[in-house]
Amino acid sequence: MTELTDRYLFAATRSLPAAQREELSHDLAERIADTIDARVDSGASTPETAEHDALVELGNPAVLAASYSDRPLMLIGPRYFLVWKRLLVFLESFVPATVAAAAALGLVISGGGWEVIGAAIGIGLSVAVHVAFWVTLVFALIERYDTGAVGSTDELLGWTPDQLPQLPEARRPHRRSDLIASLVWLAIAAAFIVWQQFGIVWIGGERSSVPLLDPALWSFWLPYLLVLIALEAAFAVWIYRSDWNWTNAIVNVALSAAFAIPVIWLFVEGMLLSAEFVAMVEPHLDADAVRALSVLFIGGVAAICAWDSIDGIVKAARGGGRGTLDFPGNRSPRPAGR
Amino acid sequence: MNTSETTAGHLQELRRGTVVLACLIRLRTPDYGYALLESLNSLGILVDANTLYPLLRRLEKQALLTSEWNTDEARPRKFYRTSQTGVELADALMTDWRRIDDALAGLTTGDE
Repeated sequence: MTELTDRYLFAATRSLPAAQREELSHDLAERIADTIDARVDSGASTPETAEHDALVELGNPAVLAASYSDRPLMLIGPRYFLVWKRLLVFLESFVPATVAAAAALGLVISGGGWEVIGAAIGIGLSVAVHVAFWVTLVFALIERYDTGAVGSTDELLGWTPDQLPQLPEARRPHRRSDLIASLVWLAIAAAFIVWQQFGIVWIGGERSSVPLLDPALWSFWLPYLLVLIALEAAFAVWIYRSDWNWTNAIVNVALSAAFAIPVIWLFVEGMLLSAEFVAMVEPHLDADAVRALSVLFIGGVAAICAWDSIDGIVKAARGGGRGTLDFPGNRSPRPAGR
Repeated sequence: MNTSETTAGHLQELRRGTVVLACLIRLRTPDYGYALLESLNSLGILVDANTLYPLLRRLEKQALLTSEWNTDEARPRKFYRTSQTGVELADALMTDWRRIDDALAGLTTGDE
């Protein structure tokens, strides 16, 4: 045995646990010596080159060691791949965006300007990378150290036939509840616009007649909002009767914008809230609190409308139906009465 | 993938299990890796060293083979022998091999 063989044995066994190292080393030494002898006997190599040729025949020591020790030459094997992918898609679908939005909100409240956008994108990206890395690391470790007590991928995913997607004609299990939820919310919003006129501020347990919204808005903007609410309701019924498609998604975006832009504009211009309401509330708030509440209000209106718009676009992109941003493979409700 | 690669892939798949069976039968008489490789190949059971050596270790881990280091000769060598479980498995595999052979023969004659 020469130095070359020793180096090969070292390279092949160094990544193994100490207990297996010596044993595999003996095995390989026997194989190498036999291969050398065979090459010399058959005349395939000269005695000088036989060792070198034999090691070439054995190939890369890391690959050889892997084939001997049954270690997987992959990060995540077929058993865990689907579980890994499902979890990763699920987490990446909302965690980075949520963290970035929360961070942006915090930065704006603490006095940040436009540079907050860049900072939030950076935070979102690094969260996305972290999520991907740690999830993958955990699965790679499971792949290596799981002793195999867990069953098939099917068992891991907990799949049952009940989870099969609905066929196209019957796949909108949520549409009735979507419609009812939309109509209830719109009714509450319309009622609120009218009701706030008669005062919402309580002082000493007694309702004072201070309207929340500026009564001057009744000349145009509040009727406009009420009409918009009626349009939204009609649109909800329309969606219930037809389905999501690109045209409907664009109408939905337009309706959201028609709500968000005037409301935010009125708020920023100081025309949204009634002077009496501001006068009653202002003494209780310092400048920082006013700033924070303003950011939360604008951010909240923008976020709700953006969410609604994206919801419609996602549903249209999926060809209609189904709940939005569902956990992939979630249960569709069992058809009743079967 | 061209036709010859496809053929080679399928041939390899078909032969994979037969190598296990051949080893279990052949090692009822103890022998070491390289001698086994030579004798299988000379019998026409074509197997690659990179397949056979890891396979022997795997079969040993499954207790189908036992091994012992023989230090009588100039170089120590690991001698493998088929265990009782291995003999039983070889019988079961052989029965199945015959059954498949009969079935395929039935298929082929049925075509004619």
